[in-house]
Amino acid sequence: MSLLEIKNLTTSFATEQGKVQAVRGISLSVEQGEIVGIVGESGSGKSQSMYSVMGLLSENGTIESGSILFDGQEISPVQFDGNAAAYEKLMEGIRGNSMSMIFQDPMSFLNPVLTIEKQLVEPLKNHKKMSAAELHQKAVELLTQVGIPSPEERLKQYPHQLSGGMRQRVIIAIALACNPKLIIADEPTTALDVTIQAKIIELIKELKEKTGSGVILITHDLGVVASACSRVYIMYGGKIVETGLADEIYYQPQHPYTSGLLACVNNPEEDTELRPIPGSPPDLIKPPAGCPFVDRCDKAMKICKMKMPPERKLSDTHAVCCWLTEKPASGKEGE
Amino acid sequence: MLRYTLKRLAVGILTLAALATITFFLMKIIPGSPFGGELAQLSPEVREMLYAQYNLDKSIPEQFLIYLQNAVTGDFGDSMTRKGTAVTTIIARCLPATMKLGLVAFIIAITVGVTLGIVAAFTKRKWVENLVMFVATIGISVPSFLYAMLLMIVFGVILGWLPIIGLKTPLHYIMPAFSLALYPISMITRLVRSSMKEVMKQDYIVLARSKGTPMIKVILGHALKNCLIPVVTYAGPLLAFLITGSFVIESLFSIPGIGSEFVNSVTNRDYTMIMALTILFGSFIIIVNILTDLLVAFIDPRVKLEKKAS
Repeated sequence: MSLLEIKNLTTSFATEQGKVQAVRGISLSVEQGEIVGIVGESGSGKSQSMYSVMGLLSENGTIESGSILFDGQEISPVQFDGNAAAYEKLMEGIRGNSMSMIFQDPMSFLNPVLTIEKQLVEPLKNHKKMSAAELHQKAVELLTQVGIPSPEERLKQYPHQLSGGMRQRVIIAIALACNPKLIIADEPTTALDVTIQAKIIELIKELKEKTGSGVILITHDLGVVASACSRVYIMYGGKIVETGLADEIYYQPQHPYTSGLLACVNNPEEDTELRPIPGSPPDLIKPPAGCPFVDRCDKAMKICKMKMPPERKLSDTHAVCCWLTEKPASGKEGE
Repeated sequence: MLRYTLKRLAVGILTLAALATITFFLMKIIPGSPFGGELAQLSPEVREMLYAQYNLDKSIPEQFLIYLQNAVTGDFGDSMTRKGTAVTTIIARCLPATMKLGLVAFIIAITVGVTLGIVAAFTKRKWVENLVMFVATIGISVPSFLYAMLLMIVFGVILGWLPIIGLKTPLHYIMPAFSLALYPISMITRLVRSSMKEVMKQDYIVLARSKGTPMIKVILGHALKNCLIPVVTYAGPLLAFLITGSFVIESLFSIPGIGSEFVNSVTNRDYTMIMALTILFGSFIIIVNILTDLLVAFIDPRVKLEKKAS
C-alpha cells in the first residue's frame, strides 16, 4: 500500500474573474522512503495540489472531487460533504504530526514576533505530551539535526536575527519535529542562494534516509530533481502530463513539454544554447478542451486542440499524456 | 532600554519647555483679561493692586521669566479667577474624577474594540460583520454629546436604570464612560478588523496551521500579537486624551472634572490655570508616547529602540 495515493483530485479557486481550475483531476502516489518530484512552472497547479492534500488551501479554494488516501486513511474533504468542522478536526490531528510541509520562502513563513523556540515546539505541543524540559531538549536536538550551530542561543532569538538559510533550516526542523511519515517540500530552495540550495537538498535527502519518511519535492528546477528524486511527475495546466523514473524523464522524455523543460536546463558538457519555451501557460479560468500545452507545442496536431490525450503507459513506471505517443494504427490523428 | 527612556524623558522636558513658552506668549496675545466681566467695574486702584499681585504690570518677557522661575520650584501660582486658591489645588481636586472616568473608558474601548474587531474579522455570517461595521461607522460619525444625551434619555429617564449626575457609585460611571468610549471603540474595531484580515493572509499563518494548531490558537497565539501593533500606536495617544477629560461629557453629566476646568480657564483668561493645564496635558502625552514606543518594541522584536552607534 502506498503511503499517499491521490486519485482524480480536482481543486478550484473562486476569483472575481471566475472559477480558476487550478488542479484538474490529477492522480499520483508516493511510497514510504522515496523522494518524488513534482515539476512544473508557476501556475501549473503543483503547489496547490499539495496544499489540497494538507488542507491548507486559502479561503476561496475548494477541493471539488477526488480521493486522497494517506497511510490507509481517506482524508479528502469530499467525504465530509460540507462538514468543514469535522474535516478540520481530522486534519488538525494529521498536520504537523504524520504529514508536514516545508515552505518556500523562509523570509515570510516564520512569525516575526515569536521566538524560534516557541515556533519550533508548537507541533510537539499539539501532538505529543511532553514536559517543558523535554520540549526544550527536543528543540535543541532538532536544531542540531538540521545543522544549526549553537542551538541554545538560536532558540531564544527571533526570525529576523537569522539568515535566510538558517531560517529555512528552522522551517525544516519544524516540519521534522514529530517524525512525520510524509514531508511535502514546496520549493524549499527557491528563495535561497545557489550554494545553500545544494546544502538544503542534501539535508532533506539525509533526513529522509534517517527517518524513512516519504518526501514530495515540489520544484520548477529539473536540476534539483535530478539530484534528489527517484520518480518525477511533470505538471502542466493543472494536469500531470508525464510521469516516470528520474532516468526515464531525463533520457527518454516523451512529452514535448518535458523536452522543452530539459532544453531550458543548462548543460555544461554539451555547449548548446538554452532554449526557452515560447508562450505562456493556459488560462485556467477557461481551460482548453484538449491538451493544455497545445498552443506552445511545436508538434501540435489537429486532435491536440480538441481532445485531452489519455494516459498511455510506456513501461511500469513511465506514462505520458500526449497524442504523439499514440500509435498511428489507432487512427485517431485522422479524426 | 533605561538609557533610551532617560533620553526620551530629557527630550520630553525640552518639548515641555517649548510648549510652555509658545503657550505663554500666545495666551498673552489673545485680547481680554482675567479681570474682565463683572470685575470690570473695579476702581483703578484695586485693579492696579490686582495687576501688581499677579505681576501683570510687568512686561510680558519679564512675566514669563518670573513664571518659569516659580514653575521650576513647583509653584504654578494661584488661579486668577478663584482668588487665593493655588492651581495645583484645583487640579488635585478635579483630576482624580477625570482620570478614573478616562481609565474606565479606556479599558472599555480596548476590550470592546478588540473583541468586536476580531468578531467582525472572523465571523462566517456576513450580516454580523456588516452590523458591527455599521455600528462602528455610526460611532465614528456621530458626535459624542448626541449619543450621550440619547443614553441619558433612554437609560436615565425612560428606563430609570442608571443615575445621570455625578460619579458617586460605579453605576454612575457606565453612561459617561460609554459615551467617551464609543468613538475609540469604533476606531479600534475597524483597526483590529482590517489589521486581522491582513495578518491572516500572511504566510506564517499557513505555517502555523500546517503544524496542526487549532484555528483559535492560531488567531490568539500567532495573529493577535501581530495585529495589535497598529492598535497600540493608536491606544497610546488615546489614553492621554481620555484621562485629560472631555468638556462635553463632563458638562453633560455634571462631573467636576479637569476637562471643563480647561475650557473655562481659556474663556476666563485664567492665565495661571491655562499654563498649568497645558503643561499637565503636555506631560501626559509625552509620557504616554514614550510608553507606547516601549510597548511596541516589546511586542515587535524587530523594532530597535536605540540606533547602534555608528
